[in-house]
Amino acid sequence: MFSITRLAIRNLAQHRAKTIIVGSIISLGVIVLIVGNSFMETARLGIERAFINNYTGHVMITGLSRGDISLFGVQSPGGVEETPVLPSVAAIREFSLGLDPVVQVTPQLTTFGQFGLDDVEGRTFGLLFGIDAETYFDMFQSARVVEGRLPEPGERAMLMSVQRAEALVEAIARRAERDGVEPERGDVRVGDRIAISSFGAGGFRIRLVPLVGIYEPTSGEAVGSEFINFVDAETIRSLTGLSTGAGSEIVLRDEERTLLDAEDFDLLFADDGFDDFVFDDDPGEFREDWDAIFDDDQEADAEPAEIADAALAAAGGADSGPWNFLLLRLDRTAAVPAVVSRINAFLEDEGIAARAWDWEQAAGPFATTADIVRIVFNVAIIIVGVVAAIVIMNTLVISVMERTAEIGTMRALGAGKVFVWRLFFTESLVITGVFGLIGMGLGSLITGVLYLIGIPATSTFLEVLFAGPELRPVVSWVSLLGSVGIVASVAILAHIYPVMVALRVQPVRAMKVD
Amino acid sequence: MFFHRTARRASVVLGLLFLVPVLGADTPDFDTMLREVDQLGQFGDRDFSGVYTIVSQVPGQDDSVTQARLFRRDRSDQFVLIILQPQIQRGQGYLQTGDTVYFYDPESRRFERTTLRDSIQGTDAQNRDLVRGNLSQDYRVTDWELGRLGSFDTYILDLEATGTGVDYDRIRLWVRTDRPVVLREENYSVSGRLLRTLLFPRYANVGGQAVPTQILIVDGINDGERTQITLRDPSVAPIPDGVFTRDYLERVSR
Repeated sequence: MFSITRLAIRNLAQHRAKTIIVGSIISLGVIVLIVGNSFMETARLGIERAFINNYTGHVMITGLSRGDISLFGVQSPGGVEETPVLPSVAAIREFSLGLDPVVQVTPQLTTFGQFGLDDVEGRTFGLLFGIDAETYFDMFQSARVVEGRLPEPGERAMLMSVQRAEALVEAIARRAERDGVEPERGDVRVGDRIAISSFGAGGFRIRLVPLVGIYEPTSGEAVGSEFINFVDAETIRSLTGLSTGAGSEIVLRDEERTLLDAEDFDLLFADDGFDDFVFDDDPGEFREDWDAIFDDDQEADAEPAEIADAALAAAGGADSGPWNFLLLRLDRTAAVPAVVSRINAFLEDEGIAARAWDWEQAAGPFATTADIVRIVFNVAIIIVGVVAAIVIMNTLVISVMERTAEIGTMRALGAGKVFVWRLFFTESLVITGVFGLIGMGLGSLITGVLYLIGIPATSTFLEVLFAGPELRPVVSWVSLLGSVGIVASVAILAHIYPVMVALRVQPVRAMKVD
Repeated sequence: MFFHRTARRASVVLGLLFLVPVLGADTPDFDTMLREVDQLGQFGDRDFSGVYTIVSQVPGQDDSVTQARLFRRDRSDQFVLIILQPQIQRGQGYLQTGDTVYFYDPESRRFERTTLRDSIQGTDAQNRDLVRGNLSQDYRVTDWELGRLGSFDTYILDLEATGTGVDYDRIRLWVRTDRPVVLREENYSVSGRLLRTLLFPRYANVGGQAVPTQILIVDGINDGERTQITLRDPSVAPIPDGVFTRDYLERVSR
């Protein structure tokens, strides 16, 4: 074995020029694969980290919906449908916290809304996360307050993103310009009353909340965070009508819901359908007082918000109110599939109409976009890798073909086929080993330099791909060894065919080859 | 043989010649029909008011119920709709004055501009379903056929929008042949997708004017979603001018 290795090294040294050319190509291939893999892996981990740390946690639990559900709402073929309310929140929370890898749980509501300064024209649009301030900011340290403070637990408050605050100022200026007046305000300040309007089960609603803080993302990895604003859960429930308790409080007459059960519409038109109703032209009882149009038996004095609060208090306090999501943080990402599976089994056993999902489902369209971009990137790297492999193979095939005469001479001098095979195999191992190591070194060096410099994301496309404003690629051992392994396999495979051909040639004829 | 063939041809031609004026006589004047449909639901110089109950059904969810009182003054394109129930939405209201529709929220005491096509409290019912229509101005009939719906002979009219300021590009109407009353309406998108079906099985009739007292709206996109609108306490008693104001909406919901 030692003599073959020595012979292989001597051969490589003898064909120095050829060795350097083939070796350089191998090194180049290793460099391309290492740098490309580092990009890919860093971006993938970045996206995963960005979502898990900033919005989704590791696991999301939701009510059932017809469309695709994510933390940002439900996408259905007919458009965006209402995000379902999660049933049996307390039971699910208790079960989840009992699972070993689960370390934190926080509930959340999500809706979209328009908002602006109270009594100032000009509005902007944003995503509204209704949160439990007590647990949310413990679980996600994604918000760095640049002005004001975080909302307190139980407080009616809004924390607006810097980007949305800027967008609001622009909207106020645009509105003023359209109206031909001076903008009423050139900034958004802590303490301002924010009017939020949204549309949910409660119809079109407007709520006023004090702005307690303006934040920016802590890590710079929070893709899409510019649209997210944090609002107390009570305000979101009130905006979306989640506290209404549906229509149970209204007693219906039979004729007010009979049509809903109709199966054959033709049967609805069986009789004349005209009630010869005689209109009462005299002022009726409700018209005696035009300001009292509500029936006496209703609690006309109660403010809607008070009724909502009363309903929530009756249900066991604010925390037991309706939520859209429970988000779970685990002590390790690897445990996600097992936890999702155990929670889903629990939900099925208990007959709870809910489901657990991993962080990728929770990230919804953002993760899908990132996935698509990543696939495109992977395909590009694979194409580069394949081209590099073909070049290496081609060079090696030519280099072995050129040594057909040498193989013939060795065979004529009594070298067996096995000996020739082992010699060329050893040569391949030596050349890929030496130049692979050089490639690893250079690839790591280049990646290290790129890490130090940082590659800025100059467009939204790159921001999604990099999971932040810049990418700092990091080399992993898997990527290092994988790249060398791939190139070594290519080099060894590339020897098989030409050596096989050379061995088939009669030694005498092989020796005649120039 | 030649004679027979010629006689047959002649009879076909003569038949067609007689048929043309017959067909022409049977084709109704659809412009007039649409105007009559519009007129039948308009109160002209009289005011109109009533209480509407809107029950919305979504599979897998409890029915949602909304009650609202409507005040209409068609002669000046005004209406006020005030939510009576459920409690949490009580006092919310819509006000139309001319081309502008406002939504009022009593908790924030703010008015927001909205439109007639806005859904009423998240149901399939829209503000436009409770106020007078303008089919004769907004649409033209592109095709028609005779059909039957339940016990009634109907004209089935295909309408196409004449402009862009309408909610639906295409509408299909079932109008009774004996009186200009709409029994069924289908609303389509520009691409021809059925968005919703409205059925009007019951009307209240007074002095030649007709108001639907029961409407069933079937969602064309979300299977199983239905909404029923029922009218009670209709009245044509005069309504004070002050009712059709923002001030009234603010005052009445306090």
